Formats: sequence, C-alpha cells, structure tokens
Amino acid sequence: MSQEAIEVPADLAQVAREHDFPLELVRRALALGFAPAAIRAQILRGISPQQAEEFISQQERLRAGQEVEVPEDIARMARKRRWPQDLVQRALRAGLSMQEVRAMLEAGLRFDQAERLVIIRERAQQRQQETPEQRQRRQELAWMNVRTEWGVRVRPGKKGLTLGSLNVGSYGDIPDYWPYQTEMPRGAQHNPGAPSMGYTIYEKAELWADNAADLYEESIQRQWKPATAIPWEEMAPLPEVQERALAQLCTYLCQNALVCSDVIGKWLKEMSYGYHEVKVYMATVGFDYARHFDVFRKRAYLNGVGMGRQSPGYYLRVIKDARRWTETSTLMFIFNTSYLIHLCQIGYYTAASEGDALIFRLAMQDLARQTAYGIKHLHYFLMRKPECREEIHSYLQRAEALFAYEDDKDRTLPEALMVLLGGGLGQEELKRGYALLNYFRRRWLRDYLARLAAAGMPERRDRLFPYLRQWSPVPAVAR
Amino acid sequence: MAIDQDMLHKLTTEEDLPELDLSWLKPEDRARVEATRLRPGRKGLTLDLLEAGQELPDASDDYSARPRGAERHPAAARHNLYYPLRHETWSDNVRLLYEEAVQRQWSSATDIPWHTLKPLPDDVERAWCQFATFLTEVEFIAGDTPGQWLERINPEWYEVKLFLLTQIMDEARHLDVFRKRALANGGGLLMESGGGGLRIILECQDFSEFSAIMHVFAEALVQTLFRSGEALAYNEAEKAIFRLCAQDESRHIAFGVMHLKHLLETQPWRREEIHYYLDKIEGPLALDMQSGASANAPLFDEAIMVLAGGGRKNIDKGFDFLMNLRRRQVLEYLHRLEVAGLPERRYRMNPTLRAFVET
Repeated sequence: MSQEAIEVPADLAQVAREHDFPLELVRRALALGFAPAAIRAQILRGISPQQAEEFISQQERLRAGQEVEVPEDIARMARKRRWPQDLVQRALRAGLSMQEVRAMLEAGLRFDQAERLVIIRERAQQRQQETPEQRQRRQELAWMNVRTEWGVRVRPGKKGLTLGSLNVGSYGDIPDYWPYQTEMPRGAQHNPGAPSMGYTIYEKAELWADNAADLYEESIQRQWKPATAIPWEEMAPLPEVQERALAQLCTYLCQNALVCSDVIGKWLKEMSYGYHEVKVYMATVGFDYARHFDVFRKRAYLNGVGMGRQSPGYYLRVIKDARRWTETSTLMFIFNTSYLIHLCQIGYYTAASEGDALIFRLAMQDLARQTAYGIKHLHYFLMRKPECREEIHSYLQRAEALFAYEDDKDRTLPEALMVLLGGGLGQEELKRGYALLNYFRRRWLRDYLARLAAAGMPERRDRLFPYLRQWSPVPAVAR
Repeated sequence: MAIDQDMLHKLTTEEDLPELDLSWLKPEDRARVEATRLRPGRKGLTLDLLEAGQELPDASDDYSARPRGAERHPAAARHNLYYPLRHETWSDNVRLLYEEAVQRQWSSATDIPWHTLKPLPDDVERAWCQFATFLTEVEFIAGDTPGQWLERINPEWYEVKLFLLTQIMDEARHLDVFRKRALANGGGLLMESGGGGLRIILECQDFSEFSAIMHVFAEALVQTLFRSGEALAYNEAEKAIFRLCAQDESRHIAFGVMHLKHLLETQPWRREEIHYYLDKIEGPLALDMQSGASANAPLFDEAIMVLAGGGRKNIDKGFDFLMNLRRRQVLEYLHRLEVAGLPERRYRMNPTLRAFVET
C-alpha cells in the first residue's frame, strides 16, 4: 500500500496539526505498522519532526533488510554486557530507538533482561500487523476459558453482601481436606506451577466452625473506636485506692490481650486458604485484642495512675505454648475468654461512670464472639474426632492447673479485684470484696463449664482441677 | 448488673478474709505515679495524647509479656526472644497510623454499593474475575505475614504490634472484598497465579527486611494500581473498592517508609543490607512485570490489559495503559525510597525496572 493511500485517523491528524507535525511522517509511521495510539503518544510527548524522521528512516532501512550503523560507544557497551551480536539490531528492528538502546545498556541490562524487553516489543509489533482473524485467535486468553459458576450472581441481603452468602454452588463446597499448599483461593483453578506456602493445617476438623463467616461480618459491623467511642471527659477519678485497683485490673487485661494477639498472629500463617472464613475471622479477633489493649491502657492512665504490676504470665504461657490449633482455640476462646468475661463483669459491676461501664460492656461483646467460635469449633472437632476427647481434657487440665498455680503464687489481681468490689481498704470493705469475688468466680466457673458442655464436654464438670472446685457450686442468678 | 442484698449478706458472713499482701497498692513501690489526668483532644483520646511525655526506651532486656510502664514482676516468665532495640521495629508515625486505622475501618458487606454492579461483556467480566482472583491471593499473603512478627516485637513498643494488627484486619477485608467482587456479578474465581514472588514476603527473616519488601515495595506497587483504578472500574462499586483499599494501603506504606527512615538514621550501617533485600524482591517481581514476554503468570497483566482496553479487542490500548502503570509504579516506589533516605536506589535498581523509567 502506498503511503498516500494510508488514511490518517481524524483525531491523530488533528493532534499532528496542533503540534506542527508533518502528516507525511505520520503516514510513514503508519505504513511501518506503528499503532495510531503509539504515534499520538510520541507527538504528545514532544518528539520533534527531525527525531521522528531519523527514527522512521532507520526503521524503513531495517524493514528493507539493511542494517543500521551502531555508534561505537553503544557497540562497546553491548560487547561489555555480553549482548549477542545481533541483539542491538534486533532491538532496533523491534522499534526501539538508538537512545532507548543506549539507555538500556547504561541501565546495566543483562542480555537476557534486554532480550525480554525486545520480545515484548516484537510481540507488540506482530500484533499491529496481524489480520482481524489472527487477532481474534490470539485474544483467546487461556485464563478466560477457566470453568466457573458462570451466571451465578450473589446478591446483597439484609446485612449487605456477606462472606457467608458467597458460599453458593461449588463455592459452598468446603472440603474436609484441602489438597493445595499454595495460595489458591477456594473455588479458583489450580496452577500446577504454584509453589507451596508452607501451611500446616489442611484438615477442616482442625479449625472449622460453622459460624466463622457470620462472626467475621458481625465483628466488622460492631467495631468500636477507643479514642472516640468512650466518654473519657466524663470519667471522674475514683478514690485513689479504687483507681489503683482498676488500673491493676486494666494492666492484667492489657497483658492478656498482648499475649493473645501474638498467638493469633503466630497461627494465621499455619491455616491453609481452603478455610479462609476462619482466617479472616481470626484477623478480627487480633484487631479486637489491639483495641482492648488500647482502651484498657488508656483507662489505666486516664486519671493519673498508669500501669500496675505485671502478671508473672505463667498461665498465659499455656496458651502460647499450645501446639495444635484446637488446643489453642479451646484454651484461648473457652477457658481464657471465660475468665476475661468474668473480669469484665467485675469491671462492669463496679463501674462508677457510664464510661467505665461502656468500656467493659464493649469488651465483653467482642469476647462473646470469641467464645462463640471456640464452642462451635470444639463441637465440630469432637464430632469428627471423638477419639481426641481425652486429649482435650489433658489441655484443659494443664490450663486449669497453671491458672491455679499463678492464682496461688501471685495475689496481685485477686487483691485488686477485692478492693474494687469492696469499695475500699477497710476490713468490712475487704470482706465484702472477698465475698463478691468468690461470687463472681462461681459465675465464671459456671459459665466456663456451661460453654464446655455446649461444645460437647459436659463431663468436664466432674473433672475440674481441684483448686477450681472451690468455686464450682452454682451461684444465685444475678439480676 | 446487681446482686440480691440477702445473697450479699449471706456471702459476706460465710467467708473468712484471707491474709492480704497489698504490696501492689503501695505508692512507694511504684516507679512513678503521674499526677496528671488525660484529656481527650479533637480526635478523642489518642495514643499520642496517652503517651505524651512518657518515657520511650530505646532498648529492653525484658523478655516477659510486661506492657510498657508496668511494674516488673521479679519472677515473671519469659515469653519470647524479642528484638531488644526499638529501632529494629519502630516507626515514628505508628501511633497516628494505628488511630487512623481504627477510625477508618469499613465493611465490604455494606460500604460498597454492590447494587451498581451491572452485567458486563463476558470478556470484561472474566478479566475482572481474574484480576480479583489474583488480588485475593495477594491479600492472603499480606494478611499472614505481619502476624508472624508480632511475637518478635517487644511489648515495650506495643504500638507497632497494634499497628500490625490493624494491617492484618485491613488485609482480611481486602481479600474478602475481592472475593466478593469475583462472585457478585456472575463470573467467579478464575486461575491461580504462580505466586513465587509473593512467597519471598513470607520467607523474610528480619522485621526490617519484611517491612522493606512488603510495605515499601510490594504494597507500593499495589497502591499505585489501586490509585489507577478509575481506568479499570466499570461502576461505582469497583471504584469504591479501589478507593477504600488504596486508603488502607497508604497507611501500610507510610509505616514502612518511616520505619526504613528511622532504621537508616539510627543504624546507618544497615544500608547495604537493605539494598540486598530490595535486590531480592525486585528481581522476581521484575520478571512478573515483564510477563508479557515470560511464562511467569501473565494472566494478571493480561486481565489488566483487557480491563483497561475495554475488552479483548482493544488489548493494545490496554497494553499502553499497563506500560504507563508500570512506569508510575516504579517512579512512585523510587520516590518513597527517597523519602526514606535511600535515594541512590534509583541507580541501583534492578535494570528491568529501571528500564521502565529510562526508556
């Protein structure tokens, strides 16, 4: 086709005119197969007619089978970089300018890296020259032919577009064993070349809970903001002794939150992606712990006291030292969370201001979700692995024993709770505080055992560690 | 919550008071008691206000789980071998970023106008689904990785832990929102990617290595992509996804840049080591960026090209978009490294990436 016969697209012609760029050069570039968009980009980028003439002439010579003379400094750099002899010419034939080749060499591109760039340009060039039929064939991109649940649309419901609602058709098929060690999302097509990510939990029974997706969404909907959700301004100081006791309780809750969030972080990378509902719910649990640390630290410092004495951390080590997720989950979300809810109940009961009551109420709301996961998971686990029942008892025995050890060795927290519950340091106040503490501990044990019963372990009531039995009688119902 | 008075009376008369120690209560045993009361500011009671004027130690030999400022228990159990120096994990903007993260949480279920999704041409829908499948994978890794550093960070510098927990939360929401997008418009999840480049993030053996690779490099690339999302979005739902995800990524990058800056200011001898980490990630990722010519997971790039071109018939237009995107990604990455105090990276960058800037 003669250059005169080549029609310049109207918008390209207008850009050329606006930039005093000769249409003849545009036609020659089109004749070489350069895309109108690429020519337009060059004009807009400010290429001069002289530069364009030089480049187009060079391309025309190359297309005619001639070679272009390569400046000596470029040839020297190419030799030094061990580029194959024809790579410079090939780069030029692919549409790269001499300046671009020089820049590639100055940038230190190895021959293989440079060749990849050249291949890209060659492919682009080929695309510009192909017929519509060839183009149609090429555009059959392989990944477009992957089989999916095509046509199945998940619609948002009353609670929006929730994670659980996505489990339709084959996406709702959550296998008992996840066979892939890669990062493949459930429902995608496996890529046989993908590497292992090194997870260790591939069995549904080891982490699943039917409520995980719902808990995840609920957790996001109920996130609260310690900086602004609490009426800090209105929380007047308590009498100094009580303020110190409250700070001591907050210190314990901070430390517990830190350790539990570490544990969540450690386990996330062990869980394979076949069970993403559990993974994302655990992300919200970690975030809950962050906010708990935040709010309890702020409360401890609010009225001038600050952190109290640290706990020795013996009992928390049991959670940290767990070697199986179900062990971790049972200790953290049933034993420990029951204990934390009990502490928050004391905080709520003794709250002297709406702000204090709100802090403990919001924390309990978060912790309640954790127990919901813990119970459901243990239930699911025991239904599928009844032979592991004794193993779970051994974990609980260990946690209860370590709790007893710490509770006996370190009386800081129980004393602080007594002061808080009794309202002071007088003999009568302490006596009242002690009685109330025992009352709340009975509630705690009752709730702990009830949660285990709901998970399918009612017999724990009869196997409770002896130290804890002092609180096992059922207390009167609080109003 | 209230307790019946009769029950209370019964309880108090039944139980003998044990011997009490109360040493935790004695003011003279406390290292310091602040007499000041905290007041919330314009943004509420923030960590900055909480910690204003408090001592921030540079080193710690405490391996228990003691929160900063708490009185040491002489018999406390060790919990971890934490990093002993603040500089190894700290970032000066960490408190601000944590508070911002808490304030800016969003819900993929209710904050995305899903009703604006309308049926798209098949090729565009499939491209979106491939794009979303890949990003779901990316966010999986991004969520798993910060968690493994939590137990290495000393509670003395708890702010970093809290920030990483917000990042894990963010990444969970991202993987969730891209999965939802893939399934919400009749498409579905498509092909898993190669994933080799992403594994490098999981393999990090040092916190600063992790932060440089993940926050400064990988998330920066993703951030530029999200910020270019207008060209890839076909409706308000997709625009909202890009906007909200980009907002979260900005915080992660800000942490990484300021951590790197802090590290280079306090431990300047680690400069070459940081270059090694960047060499390590730039290499494989540079291959991915060249995927138009390599066999290494071209599907993500192809999906972008189809989306940006408006369909596979205009894939050439999409190719131009992709090349411009790569250029912007590299330029923004370099700019962040300059801010962090590593301007020489421009001249030491992987040549394949450098070519995007210089050719």
